[in-house]
Amino acid sequence: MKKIIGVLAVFTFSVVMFSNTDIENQSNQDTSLSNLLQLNSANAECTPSGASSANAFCTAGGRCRYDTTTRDCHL
Amino acid sequence: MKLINLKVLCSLLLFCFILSCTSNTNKIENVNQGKLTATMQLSEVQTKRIILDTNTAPKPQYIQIYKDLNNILNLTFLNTYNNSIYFYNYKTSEFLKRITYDKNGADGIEMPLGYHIKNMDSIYIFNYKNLELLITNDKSKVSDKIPLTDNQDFKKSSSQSLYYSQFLPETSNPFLETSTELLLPAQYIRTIPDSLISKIKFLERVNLKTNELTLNNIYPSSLYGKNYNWDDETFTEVFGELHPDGDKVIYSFPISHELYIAKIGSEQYKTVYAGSNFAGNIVSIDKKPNKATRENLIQHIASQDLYAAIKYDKYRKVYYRFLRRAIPNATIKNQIKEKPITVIILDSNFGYLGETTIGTSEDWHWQNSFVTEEGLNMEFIDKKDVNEGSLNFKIFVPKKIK
Repeated sequence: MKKIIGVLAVFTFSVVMFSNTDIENQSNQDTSLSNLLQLNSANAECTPSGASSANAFCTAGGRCRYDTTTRDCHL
Repeated sequence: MKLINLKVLCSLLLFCFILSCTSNTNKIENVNQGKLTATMQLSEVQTKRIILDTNTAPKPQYIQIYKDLNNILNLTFLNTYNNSIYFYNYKTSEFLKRITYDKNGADGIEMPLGYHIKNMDSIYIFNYKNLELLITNDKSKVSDKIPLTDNQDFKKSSSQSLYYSQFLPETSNPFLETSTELLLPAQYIRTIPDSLISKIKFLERVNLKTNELTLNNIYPSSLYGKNYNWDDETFTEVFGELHPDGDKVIYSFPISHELYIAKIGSEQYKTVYAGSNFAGNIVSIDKKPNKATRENLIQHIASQDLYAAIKYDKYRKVYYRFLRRAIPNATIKNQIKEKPITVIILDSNFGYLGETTIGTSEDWHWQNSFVTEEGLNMEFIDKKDVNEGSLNFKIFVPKKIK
């Protein structure tokens, strides 16, 4: 019985790990595409960043703001 | 025995894994939801139309109502397209003049977001490009610069953005002038790291005589601490208003049903309830910032009741507090501009008088709201004006519910 419970626990853990990783990869792929679509439609004020751009974050309202690490848009 | 140990190990790993995927969530309850009784509502009493030139579009970046030396009330606004401040007679809607600034050079203003006209020799303009306040005049000359961060090149030093708030003025969240200072209610742009919650100050005070900068007031830890995910300026904007006593600032945080009041220069807050009868609990995003997608963020903003500007009407001794209502069952297809805009009316002691929903941001540019003797002015978007030929306001006053 103990053996069965042990094996089941390992199996469940593996399935959860695998499915979560898969969802995350999927969601990241979706995000990239949706980000582009969002930026094209609703966020006209966030212009694409370039080599001379400072670190800046494109807010939900489509404003480009100085940021620490992100480089979403041009400032 | 080995299998039991393995079970314990697996359970621990699973627990750690789940923890790593979620973040602390803050739930801010509206303790008076459904318990408040309305006695007043906003009533539209007047429309104002200002004819624009061909270089100007509605929804200007910033508006200031300014009384000139001849005691004429001026409606002034910033046109970021041609770097100009326009002056109109508020009563007659007649165009008076405009001041145009260079974009570059010694007198250049690269990215103006707002301004404060003290008089024609002292016009303070906030230049977002360098996060600095420029002192200019009506001859378009820059006489002084006041840096609002450490005097470093913050474009190369990301620590500037990490440790400093940024001033993002709006008509509804303007410069505040006291007898000695100009107050700039700034804000942190993203989720505030818990390690910095007691260090980041958002009120920038500029001494009108010496131009000295002093920083005050931190975000309340109960709202923004513990690494709660409020990862957008929509959650972190600090709306400020001068208390009629003149020595205090009233803060409206988007995520709090209460108002926070601080004596200028003090770090102590007094809180008063100033919520909506209909607003629900406000919750932070249940994912870590790096796990939340842009879609998650917009959907979350759409799904929450979020407060905004607080305005004092000295003519009627009432406050107006704006609320961007939640869209019920919001999905990723909803946009932020679909959120209904409600104005809560409070008496001079912040007692609830009532609230009125005026429409959505598709019809109202509520960010351009200000108070005059006539009432609460709010810019509305005239969809029939396809040529963008006019700037339109509707004026509201509180009236008793019959």
